[in-house]
Amino acid sequence: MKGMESTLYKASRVFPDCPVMATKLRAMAYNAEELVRLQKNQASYLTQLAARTTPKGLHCLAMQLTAEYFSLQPEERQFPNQQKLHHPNLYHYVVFSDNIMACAVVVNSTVSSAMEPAKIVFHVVTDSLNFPAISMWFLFNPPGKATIQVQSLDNFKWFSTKYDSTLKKHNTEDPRFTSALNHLRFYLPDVFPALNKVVLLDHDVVVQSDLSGLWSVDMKGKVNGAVETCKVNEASFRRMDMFINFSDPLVAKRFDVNACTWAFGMNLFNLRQWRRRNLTSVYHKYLQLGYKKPLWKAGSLPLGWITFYKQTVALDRRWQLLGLGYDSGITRRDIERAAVIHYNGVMKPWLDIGISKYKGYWGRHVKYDHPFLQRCNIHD
Amino acid sequence: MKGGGGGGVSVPGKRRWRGLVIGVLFLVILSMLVPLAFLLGVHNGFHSPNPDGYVPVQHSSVSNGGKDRSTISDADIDPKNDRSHHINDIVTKLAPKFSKVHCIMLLGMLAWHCHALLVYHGLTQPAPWIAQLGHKWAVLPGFHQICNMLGVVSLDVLTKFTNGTENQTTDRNAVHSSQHKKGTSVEPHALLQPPPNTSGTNNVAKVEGTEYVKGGIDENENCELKFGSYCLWRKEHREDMKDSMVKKLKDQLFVARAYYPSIAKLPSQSKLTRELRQNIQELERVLSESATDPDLPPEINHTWLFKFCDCIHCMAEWSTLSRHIKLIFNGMIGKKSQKMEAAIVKAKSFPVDCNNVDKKLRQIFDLTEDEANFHMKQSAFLYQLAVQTMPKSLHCLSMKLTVEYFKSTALDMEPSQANKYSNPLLHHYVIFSNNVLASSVVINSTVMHSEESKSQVFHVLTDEQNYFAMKLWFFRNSFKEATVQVLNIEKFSLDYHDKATLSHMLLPVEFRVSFHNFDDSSTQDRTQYLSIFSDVHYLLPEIFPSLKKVVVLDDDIVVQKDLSALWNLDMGGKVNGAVQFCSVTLGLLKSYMGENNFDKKICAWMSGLNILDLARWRELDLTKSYRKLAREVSVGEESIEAAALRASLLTFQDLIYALDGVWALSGLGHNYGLDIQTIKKAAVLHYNGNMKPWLDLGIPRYKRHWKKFLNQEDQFLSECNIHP
Repeated sequence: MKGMESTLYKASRVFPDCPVMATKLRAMAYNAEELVRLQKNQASYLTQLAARTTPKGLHCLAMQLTAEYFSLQPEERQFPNQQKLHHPNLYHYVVFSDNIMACAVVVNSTVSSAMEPAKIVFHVVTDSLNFPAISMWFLFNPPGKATIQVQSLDNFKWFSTKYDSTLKKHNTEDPRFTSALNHLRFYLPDVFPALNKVVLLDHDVVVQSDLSGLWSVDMKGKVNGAVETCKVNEASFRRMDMFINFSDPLVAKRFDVNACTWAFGMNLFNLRQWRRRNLTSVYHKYLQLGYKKPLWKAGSLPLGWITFYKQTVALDRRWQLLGLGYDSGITRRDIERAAVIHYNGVMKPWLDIGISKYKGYWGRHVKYDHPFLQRCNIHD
Repeated sequence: MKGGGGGGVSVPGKRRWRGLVIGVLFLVILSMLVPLAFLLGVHNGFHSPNPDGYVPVQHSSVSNGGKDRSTISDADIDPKNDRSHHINDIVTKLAPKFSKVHCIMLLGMLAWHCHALLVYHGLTQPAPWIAQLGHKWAVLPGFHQICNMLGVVSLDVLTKFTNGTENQTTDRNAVHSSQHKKGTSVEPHALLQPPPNTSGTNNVAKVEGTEYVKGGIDENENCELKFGSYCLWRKEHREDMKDSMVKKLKDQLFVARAYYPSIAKLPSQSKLTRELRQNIQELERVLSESATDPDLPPEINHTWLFKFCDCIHCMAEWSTLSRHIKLIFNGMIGKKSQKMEAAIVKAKSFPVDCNNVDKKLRQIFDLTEDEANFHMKQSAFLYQLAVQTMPKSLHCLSMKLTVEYFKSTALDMEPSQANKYSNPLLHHYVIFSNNVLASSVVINSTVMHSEESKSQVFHVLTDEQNYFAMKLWFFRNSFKEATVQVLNIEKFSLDYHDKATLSHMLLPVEFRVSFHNFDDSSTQDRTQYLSIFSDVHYLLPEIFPSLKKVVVLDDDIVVQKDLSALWNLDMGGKVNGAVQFCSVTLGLLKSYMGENNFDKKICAWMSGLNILDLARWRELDLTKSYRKLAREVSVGEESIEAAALRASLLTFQDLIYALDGVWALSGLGHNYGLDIQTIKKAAVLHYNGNMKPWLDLGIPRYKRHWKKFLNQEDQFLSECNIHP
């Protein structure tokens, strides 16, 4: 840079023909600018690409655990304490995930920061592909005194009939949006018929303090307890019409564009109210409607907003801190005092593109000394 | 800050005056200080306890020209602060040279910083260091205010307008009109000095026009080597840029901005100044109105793109990507462009201070280049990442096959013709691979081109991790009448090595070498990807004790001809039939060869397509000599790959039988410049290099030669979303 500067300076002395010099410089500036533009596009293209890949270590881990699982005798594949699974008075946490490490961190962090881990029941739901590996992981690493259950999506016969029939017809390219695991959250009362209240945790969160206080939150008869995202000057700000097409009269009539939005990540669901209001069929209705014309963007969030419209109660903001997967400007203080931190965005902590200064909060719940992780070259 | 500025300007009748005041207000001091502070790394000291203190000084420096300059340092900066004091000195030193032009010039820089601030704030997926950079800027006091004044909407306001595509245009208009209502006539000044995102070719610089393009192409070639298929994607977008109207427009803006400061300095030219200013504003507005970009990935489109597109400067930049722009521009710009042109012609006819124009351009150039380098580094990192990780779809396939394998253990997966495995009369092909798709393509393409697939036996050698998936895959898929055997190499190799050292070299690796090419007069370093034998290759005589000859294929090849002729070659006592690679001689590789004696003129050879005379191999006990060479004291801190390369080249140095060059064409994984006819003629295509055909980054032009041998109807492939 400096070299160039001085060279240019000299040049301008020696070569006083101003217009020529100016055009020359202009040409150079043009080139540099063009370069900037291209590089930017390139970087964003590659970031998207990087988000679509699996680190080799994670792949290796999944493959190894799968092989290991099948070497077990069927009776060795059972988890202990299964009588607790349907006990409505315990703290039931639900995680939908296809990622072993992510899942392990959610479970591990919740249990290790809980005051009464024995009262915790984890329900991990995954797909048939990852079921053996995730089961094997938790057979190897039981979550202390807490109880755990691992289920495969494919065992829910009702789900495939209800959901696939509508979804299969509308195959979009991006698996993120069609992922059945992602939409299973709208069937919680069907997945857990015996339970009245559950906390749904996304697999890209880390729990940092005891969550038992959540269970005594007054939900005011609402179905969904969530952290709101309608503060205008915050990075997490979302407005209804960012994902929902309010130019459609049907939408505009039913919903208020200024209604407060909220986030997934950590949600408290009152399943009893949910069943009473039959919200799953509401969801279904909107899902179908959305196939007919473009009413909202793909993904579970806009559907969540409309399904739980007027059925959501705000949780204190300290329960969940958002943005660790895209916003690199979050302060340490905010992170440390949040009960749950959410790595929403493409820069997941288990990917190389993850924001390095946040990786530690996630990484401290990973058992890097585990032989499987070492064999797969997964390091801190 | 605004309040401070307002103090001097609240009389409605003095609008123009107000513009100057506000302009100079921040410009003189902040503009001066910010870049300087930046350069000197003292931006923390810039925290003045009383920002309003700037106001009177600024005021006087405008109204009195140079007379009051000495007061700048005394009035506005707390002398107790050492750092500020330091800046004071600088300010004082530079003060005599300071003029309004400089102000505006520096405002340009500031605007650029503003723009950068917005970019970095809005960018939702930067590498961590981008963001840190962004925050450094954010803490600079007064930056938001300056942005406001520049007409660059501050972040807080911006977030209000980050709505959907449909609302974008109206929102932006709202921002503008609200500013007009406030009467901040400083906006024109701001518009004069946006960041360097405008330019192009036009009447003023016809000669240089070709030059830009040339520069672009040079860069391109470089990029192709480094960034793979992105380049092609990029070229498509480049087309948009070539739209002559956009270019012309941007160039006009650029020229106008370059002339403006100098013209504005001439008191007699106030009319022309105004004219120029109006034209600039107008074009800015037009450019900004067309900034929706349907081509960008949706996630980007709706989070940060809009955010920072409210910043007018960025508008122009991003809009060039857009297809909309053509429609909009072609329709409405013609007239405006003409006006602008006329204004520029007029401007050119006045003598201007060359130095200023030159300086400003230089700054623009420096800053832009800096930014380009930064993004370049980011891309290089991400590219490496894309190469080193695994596409989710392939992960899915391996997992699915593994799970399925165990669920179907009841099936007997050993085919009935297992006796064929060791029959020395048949044609045996050995493939080392951990990739189901790749090995499948190799086998399929070989079988498709062979006259007699019945006599072909394929041995797929894989590691334990992929063994089950491979096993099931080749049980489910048949390839005409050929036989396929899947073997777990970890079962064999355990007897010979300890697992730790071996795990790295189980499967063949590619060795990337860079060297000067002396034959060529070009001084550029060239990079070649030499794929080499792994340790397990040297176990082949023991793994297949009954076989006399095998053909070894890498998994990144495609066969396009019948290979049976290979079996009738008389190799004249040589062991390894390989295509030589005479652009790389052992002499060129001497830095990898250690202290051994070797003939420098011998050409390097590659793994990929090799016919091995195992009988002769056993006779010469090459495995033993290889092991001895591999164990040799390594040269410095070399990698195991480097040791293996050296050992392999030395082991076979007199034992290579050179296959005719038409047998194999290499480079399809890194070289963009291969000729289509040559590709069609080659018996074997070798995708050595980083851009493997099964990756997203694969070179699209070569991908189809690979893809057509994949059974895309397969249920597993479609379930895992594999569409290479």
